Amino acid sequence: MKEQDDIFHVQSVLAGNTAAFAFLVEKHSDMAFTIANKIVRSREDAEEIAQDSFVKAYQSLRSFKGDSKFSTWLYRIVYNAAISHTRRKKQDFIQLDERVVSDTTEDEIFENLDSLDTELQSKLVNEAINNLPADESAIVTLFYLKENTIDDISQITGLSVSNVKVKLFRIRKKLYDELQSKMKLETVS
Amino acid sequence: MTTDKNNHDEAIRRIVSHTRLDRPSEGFTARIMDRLLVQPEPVKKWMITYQYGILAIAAGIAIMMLIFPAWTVFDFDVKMAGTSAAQMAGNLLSTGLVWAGQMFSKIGTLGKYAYFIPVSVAILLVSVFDQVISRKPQVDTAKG
Repeated sequence: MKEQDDIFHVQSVLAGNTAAFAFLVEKHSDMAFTIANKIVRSREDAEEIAQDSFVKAYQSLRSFKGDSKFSTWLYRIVYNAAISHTRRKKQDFIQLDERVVSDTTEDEIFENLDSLDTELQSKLVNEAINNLPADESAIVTLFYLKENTIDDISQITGLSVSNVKVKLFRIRKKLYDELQSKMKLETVS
Repeated sequence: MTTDKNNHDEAIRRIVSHTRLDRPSEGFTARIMDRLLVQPEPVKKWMITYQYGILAIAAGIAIMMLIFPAWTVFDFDVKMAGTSAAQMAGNLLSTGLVWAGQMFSKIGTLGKYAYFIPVSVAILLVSVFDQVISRKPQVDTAKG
């Protein structure tokens, strides 16, 4: 139904009703901005990229055939714009150090995390996600927060389905490590 | 193993759900809509929609010009002034029939240029086929 709303408004814009595009912007602005922000790590740049992406989506709306969801098509524009931006700026992605595999199990990490209050959990998880490399940070947001399918993420990022699966596996491991080290710091302080 | 992965997936999904999407600054939508005002509308242009049809018509006209190098249709004396609508239609019909007859009689004299005719028919067929396959409703093709 939600996707049908998007299609309805896309068709309305194509029929000459430019104002209908405001619905699409309003609906997808947060996610578009989040993807850009996770990749470029600057609110100002992310906002500019998200704006440019919406304008680009508007300009090329005729080429949207409806083969994929509108959101997938739009997020691909945002993702590519953000990646191009980081390449232009030659910004180095923050890479996590290869950590020594700890003896703490993943279950223990989640148990420890559960013992923290929601606000602190949210803070730690946000920090952990932001410490991932830019593209992985965007993928984890798309997968876990927006609940896009692996197929959707494959279309958005241009990676193969198996590549997305491998990345998600690695991201999970990195998130465990990152959360574990953050919880240790939290316990010490 | 798979169950473990699913459990952890769910656990990560649960903790990630505590985080919120980043929000752009106030007036984000308005700024975009302002920018769109100076953009050309992405309306489906009839020239693009019917590009093959236009191409076929252009090819047809080119062939007509080959058959009638001086565009002799204008030599016909079509009486329009002072005639009723029915008479005018009759005049045009008879003129058209004469013109079509002349065209078919001249096809034989085209020689090697005659192959333009099946080419134009092929272009026409491609245009019709393209229109048919590209007229799938978008709602039906969208996933989810």
